[in-house]
Amino acid sequence: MNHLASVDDISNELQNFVLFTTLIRYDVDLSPVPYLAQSWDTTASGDKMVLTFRLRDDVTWHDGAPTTARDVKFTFDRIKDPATAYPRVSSFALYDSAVVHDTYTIAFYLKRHPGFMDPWRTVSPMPAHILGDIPAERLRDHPFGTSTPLGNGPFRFVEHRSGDRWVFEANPDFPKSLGGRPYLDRLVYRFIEEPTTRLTELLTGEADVYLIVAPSQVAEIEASSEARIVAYANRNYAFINWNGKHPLFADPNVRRALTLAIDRQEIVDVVRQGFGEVAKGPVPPFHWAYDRELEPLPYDPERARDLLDTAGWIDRDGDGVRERNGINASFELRTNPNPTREDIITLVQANLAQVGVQVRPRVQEAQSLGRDITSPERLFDAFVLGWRAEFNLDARPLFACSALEGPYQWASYCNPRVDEILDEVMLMPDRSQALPLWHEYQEIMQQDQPNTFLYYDMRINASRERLRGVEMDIRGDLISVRDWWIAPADRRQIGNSN
Amino acid sequence: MTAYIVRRLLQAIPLLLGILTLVFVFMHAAPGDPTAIYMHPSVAPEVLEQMRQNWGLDQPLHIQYLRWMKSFLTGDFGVSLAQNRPVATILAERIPNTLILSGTSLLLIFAIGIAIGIIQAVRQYSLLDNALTFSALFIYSMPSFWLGLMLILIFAYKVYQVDWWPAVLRFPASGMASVDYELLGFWAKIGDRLHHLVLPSFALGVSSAASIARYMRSSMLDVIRQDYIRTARAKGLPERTVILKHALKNALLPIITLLGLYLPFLFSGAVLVEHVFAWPGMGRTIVEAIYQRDYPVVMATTFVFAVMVVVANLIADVLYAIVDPRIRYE
Repeated sequence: MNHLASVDDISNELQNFVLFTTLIRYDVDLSPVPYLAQSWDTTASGDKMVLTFRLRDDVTWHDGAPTTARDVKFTFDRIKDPATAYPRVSSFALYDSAVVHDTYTIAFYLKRHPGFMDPWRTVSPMPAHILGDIPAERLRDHPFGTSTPLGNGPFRFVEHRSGDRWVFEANPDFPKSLGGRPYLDRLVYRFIEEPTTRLTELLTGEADVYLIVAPSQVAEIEASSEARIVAYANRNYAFINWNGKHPLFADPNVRRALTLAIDRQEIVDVVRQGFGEVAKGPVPPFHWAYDRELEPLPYDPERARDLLDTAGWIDRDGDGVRERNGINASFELRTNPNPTREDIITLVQANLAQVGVQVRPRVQEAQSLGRDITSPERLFDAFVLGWRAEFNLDARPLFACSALEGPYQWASYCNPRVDEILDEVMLMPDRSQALPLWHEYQEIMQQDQPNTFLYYDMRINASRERLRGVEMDIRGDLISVRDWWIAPADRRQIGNSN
Repeated sequence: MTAYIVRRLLQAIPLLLGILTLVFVFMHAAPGDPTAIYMHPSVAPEVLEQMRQNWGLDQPLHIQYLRWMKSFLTGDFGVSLAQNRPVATILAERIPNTLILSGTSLLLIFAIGIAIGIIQAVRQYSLLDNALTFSALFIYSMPSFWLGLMLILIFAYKVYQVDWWPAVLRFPASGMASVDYELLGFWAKIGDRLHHLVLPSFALGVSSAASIARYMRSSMLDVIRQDYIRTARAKGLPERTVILKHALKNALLPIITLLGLYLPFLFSGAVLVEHVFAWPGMGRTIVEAIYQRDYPVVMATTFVFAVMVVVANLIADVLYAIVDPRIRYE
């Protein structure tokens, strides 16, 4: 639970929505709204700016000490300290220094940038009076993170049993102005890997919320009168990356042909049970920059064949596989062990066989696959993986010419215009000014197809009917946890819990 | 006997060190490292480098090995790189859980296996014998994780839809305790724990019980054909006494040695069963640690498993001598 050490998804959600408080939150339009910080203002001069937060004075740590600007400064200083090895330190690259003005006022000095507020959405200040004396490089191992966390959020820490559960209880002192005491008395978060076991716990009433439902289980949950599906479009998309250094994938026309030859709607229907949307490019629909007018490439094997013919890939020896200059249109398509992705590979293999392109599937252990694709030599042909778009949509590590030597330029794709656009939009404060550029970017991506963008994903969760007020969206599964409630008649005889 | 046990334990030391060295080499030779879970474009390479430095992974491999060996020999297992906690704390939490699960299974295996084996031997070639042989083979062929899933589907899920099914036979699907465990009374807590043990220990043990039954049957059949059994019967002892008092002790001899073979089998089976039943034991820890390249945890858990296997084998050998006075280890 130590934010300076653990930033994985569920830890982050428990930190930001359960045990601690962030300075700001996002509203449904993804614009910042006050939370621990009751207000802020900015003054700019040249390319520098000063951001001043005024904190609430009624939020206390669970041991009674008030949460002050000192805690925020301590957290910021540790984040910036390289010895901490805070994983998301680069999200604070703009930030230079912090000065505490008084108990509840803190000012940050930073470079001017439209996305300056975003990092505060995910950072919960940590208690300086507990962790202040711990050397930065020891913070990660400190028992605060695993057995003695002390928060200031709507729930208090009760117990952690490793590999089993985290137990929290309502914090009666949580300020009224932030919603006050949560309606639930206890919140138990349990780890269960096996999907069948999770489903059973939900349907028998042991669990009230089931995160990450397998698509194949949706029908059974919908058929139950006691549980329902809570799904929302998230930031993830699935894609096939074509290695641009491979002779088959160097030509954008061939890559476009491959996309045309893959029935992506079928993939959504089969592997996601319809929970997803055929993708157009690297900008998911949750984002204001998403181009609603742009039509995704259709499933059109006929046009795919024409494009491949024109590009010189023709089956001359009649073995069902095209070739050019003595090279077969045959490649290895890899993924990590994951049932959904393995199914995708099988469907793609069948689709591409129809247009004379041979796919050799290979499932490879995740870290070993990671080594192969991030190596500068790009030791692979193509692979299927998922990607999570950041709220700022900065895809430069993936597609920019300047990142060609970097670990994430798997496509070896370089289009100077894309670099220009991305460099420019990242610095534009005005959405309406940036929008035409964002649209141009999406058109280029569709034309060039450095990846075949398969589908925009949906998060599928489920909840028991007795649990009310459950709203989940792109901001998080637990965004509304303070407002979850259970009618008295539906409560368990002993305690009520998640 | 004491000298023998001490000798065996001393012999185990080079064996364990060899195992640890091999695992160390294999783990570090595998692609990736513990920082891979943080690998993301928004994570600067310098951060990963700093983590490696904090964890000492920037040192040459032989230095890492010597460092690890040194702290290990002084009783320090290090700190988990993925869980950010001392490995000793993790082991202290997880080992008892695995021992509870495999211990219960072991009891179940031997109790059920021996009883069924005896019944089959006494009623050789009867309908009952054939039926039991058939079901033993059937159960023996089932993989434990599949059996676990079936048990969950039937005894933790389907039975909730059957109104007349007694509540005590509706078993929990996962974990060691209910979500409201802390709020229960003393006896309710014990009942809750036992309730949670039923399905996993059954899934883990039942196929071994089936094979024990097979061994027990043939071992019993060997014994009851011997002259001293005929003598016992001839002097007019009741059949029950002949079987349970005279024959059983000799027939158990080969079964006891199986104990040493089944323990490692149970520990490896626990890996899958703990996964299916979300049992917070060693098996799950070791699998997660391998995927995350959490070197200190992998090394420590391997060590614990190896020690358990060595000890289990030793116990089997000692039991052998206790049951059969003809065997002497001198």
